[in-house]
Amino acid sequence: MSAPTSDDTTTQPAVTEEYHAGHRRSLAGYLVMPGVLALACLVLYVYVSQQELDSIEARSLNAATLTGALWEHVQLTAVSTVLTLLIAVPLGIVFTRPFTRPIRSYLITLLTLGQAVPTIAVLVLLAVVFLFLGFWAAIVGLVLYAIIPVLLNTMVGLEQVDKAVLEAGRGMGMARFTVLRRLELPLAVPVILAGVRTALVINVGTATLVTYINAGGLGDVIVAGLSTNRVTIQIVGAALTAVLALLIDYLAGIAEDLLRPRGL
Amino acid sequence: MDFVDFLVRRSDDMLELGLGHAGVVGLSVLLATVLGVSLGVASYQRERAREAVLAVTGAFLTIPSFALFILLLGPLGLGTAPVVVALTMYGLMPVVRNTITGLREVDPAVVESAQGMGLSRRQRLLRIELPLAWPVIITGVRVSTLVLLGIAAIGAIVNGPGYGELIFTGLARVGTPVAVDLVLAGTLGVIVLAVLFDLLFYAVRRLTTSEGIR
Amino acid sequence: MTSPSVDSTSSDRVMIHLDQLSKRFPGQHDNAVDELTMDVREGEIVVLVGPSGCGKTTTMKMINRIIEPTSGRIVLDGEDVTRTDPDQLRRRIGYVIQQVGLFPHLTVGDNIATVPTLLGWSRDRTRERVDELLSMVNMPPESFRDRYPKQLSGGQQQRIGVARALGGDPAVMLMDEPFGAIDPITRDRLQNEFLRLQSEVRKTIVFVTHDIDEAIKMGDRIAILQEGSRIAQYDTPEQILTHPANEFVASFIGRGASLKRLNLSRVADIELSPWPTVGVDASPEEALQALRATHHSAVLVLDESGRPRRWVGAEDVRHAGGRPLDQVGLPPEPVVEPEVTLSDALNELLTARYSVTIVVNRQGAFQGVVDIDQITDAVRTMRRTAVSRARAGLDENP
Repeated sequence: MSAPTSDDTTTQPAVTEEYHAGHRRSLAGYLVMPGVLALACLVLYVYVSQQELDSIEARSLNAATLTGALWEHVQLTAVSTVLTLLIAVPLGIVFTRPFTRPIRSYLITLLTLGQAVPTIAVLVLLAVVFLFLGFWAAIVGLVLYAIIPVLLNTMVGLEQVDKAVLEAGRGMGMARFTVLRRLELPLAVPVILAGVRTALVINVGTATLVTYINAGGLGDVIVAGLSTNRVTIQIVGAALTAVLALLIDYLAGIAEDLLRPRGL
Repeated sequence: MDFVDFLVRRSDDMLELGLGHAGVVGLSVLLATVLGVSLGVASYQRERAREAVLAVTGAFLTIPSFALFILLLGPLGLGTAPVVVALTMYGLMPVVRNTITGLREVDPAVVESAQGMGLSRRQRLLRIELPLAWPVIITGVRVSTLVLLGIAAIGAIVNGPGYGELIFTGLARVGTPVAVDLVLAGTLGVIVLAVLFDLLFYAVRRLTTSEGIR
Repeated sequence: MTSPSVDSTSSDRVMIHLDQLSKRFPGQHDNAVDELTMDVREGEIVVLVGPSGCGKTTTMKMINRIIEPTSGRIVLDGEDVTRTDPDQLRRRIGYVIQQVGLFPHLTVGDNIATVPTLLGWSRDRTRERVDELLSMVNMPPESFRDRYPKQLSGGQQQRIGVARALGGDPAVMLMDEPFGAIDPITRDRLQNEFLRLQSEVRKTIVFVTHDIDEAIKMGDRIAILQEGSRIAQYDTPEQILTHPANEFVASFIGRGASLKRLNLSRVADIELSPWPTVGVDASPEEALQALRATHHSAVLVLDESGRPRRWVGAEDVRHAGGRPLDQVGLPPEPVVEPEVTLSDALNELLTARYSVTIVVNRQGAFQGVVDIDQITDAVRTMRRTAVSRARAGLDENP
């Protein structure tokens, strides 16, 4: 493993909240993304409706198949995100307790490097090693992959909570657990919210690949297009995936802005 | 152990795929760095420009890689080209973001005194601001690289070079003993590359950062 | 020994001429600087002083056009520079700010070499200049040239800031509260060092501060500014202290004007008192003899070059037990040079063991001492002169 160094880890905050740091947007800013996505859907619809669909294309490109794949995709994303958070946030809290201090910088370097493990490798390993396929195999793969970034986010967020505030809390006679519950967690809410968004974005993306382990989702549509060599199906599948991902990220961003405690 | 035998037998393949994987990631990181730093420099002083650049590059990162590779297939065809374009798009955000952060963190007093000494806008940027922001920028490049190493494996879908090929071949042979070896070898290859790249960044960062700001 | 800045040797040539200079910031109703006209003569230190928000810093920053004036003209050494290339202009003007702003990624030497490099000086000439400037600010080149700013104390950084501003040998220097962020003791020392440096380099300096004491100490002339950078009074420190032009100036100077006047005189201006001394090789008997011959309780031990080494009293000599005189007694403190103000000297002697301040010349050789009586005398004399001047003034304008 590469030597983790102190100067490496001091700059870690800029590294780990890589996906989106919440910055409040103007009203116009809120309207840009839905507009772009609606336009993309419209263009896609017009493009497809002008094509003469053959029977193979028609089998994939109908409302029932598409909404089915979409619904599976949303389920995969939602379930894996909830599980990711249930595991990663408590783990982040445990890993930021004082007893981990001696190994924390190594841990963070290790986790950062772990992000390089290809998502597809995690999924495929489950399939080929354990012959584990289907929805729950996909969930396990998604969660395993998304834990790392959310864990990193939570750890960095909790570490950033102003040490002076915590000391003041201890000074007022709060017990350790009270400090965590009344001060650390509320102050870390923005970070945890960013973690939710990160997990959603990662999972919605990775869920595209679970088609390879027979777990459905919009990836089915793309793969159907690839295996039958139908470009229109490929484009519809890919574009819908992109639109769904951007929409989920957009909604998560709004939730993040609304739920963030005032004054932070 | 069987797996070790497998690696020894396929060592030529491993090396070739590794070079391909490192090459496509290296090229993309280079492009993302040049573009990302330029975008950061062009936008860091104006809030609206900053937000726009971050929103767009952030949206790139949100698009699932599988979908993006497929969407680029039409205009760019199979092979290295769609992989490099997609990876460059994914690599932009961390670089842009850290460039903006790094430049904005430069002490205003330092910039003002440079201005007061008669350094032109360009000289201030090249001699003072960018060197001072460099440690932060290179950290962003490092993050980009690690993320891209993982995404590059999916590039095998569009016949891109690299370890993804082993993983997808293994997937096609689910149930046979060689499948596990193939997938493990591909995964291990990416992890080894990640460690090597990380060491490289550590060295580059030490060599290119002034002793005065370490 | 010359005393710098008191006998202002500035020529009558105008170096900086500000002509109806105004600045209005976007979105604001009033001018931050309102039709300011003033001259700064070659080789003098002009201090702009006033309450915060009066526009003094804006005024200064318009001279090197860090802030571009809305209207009016800036004339530098006879040349209208209001519209010239600002970068070229700034290379001719030294600039020192409170936060120093050293370039942290460059060595001290490279920081100082910035403007010479921009001006295209040869490598050798630049290196010579860097070493010369480091010596000028009392920082030995061989030990400081290759250090980085983070390895320096705040006071040292500020010295490098001054050296860097002098890099291209500019005729004009702008200084924005240069000693504002430094602890009081170091600040005093830096001010004194700077005055000595100025007595050698004779730059035309515009100096901004909000501290009237600093203004009195540093300025050959002081411009007291009101809101909108309107000049309430522009005159020598003596005139401002003794003849405040209006209520605003009087209240800005505040109480304790007599004490402030101690800032106007320097140790070099008064006659020093003698003090018994012995050489460092003197025998104990010689030392005791010297002590008996005086009513002071200690003698000052001087080395071969006349530099003070120890305070030694009769008890110290008796318990010396064969040790040489420079190894008994107390260290020779406090020591000041003739450039320091009486105010500084007073501060030093109030806490001194023998209630005097040792005065040495620039080579460190003993000159005499200052005690409290001399300071009281000086205050009395100044008050008398002030009163007679004031009367003379009244006679002129009945």
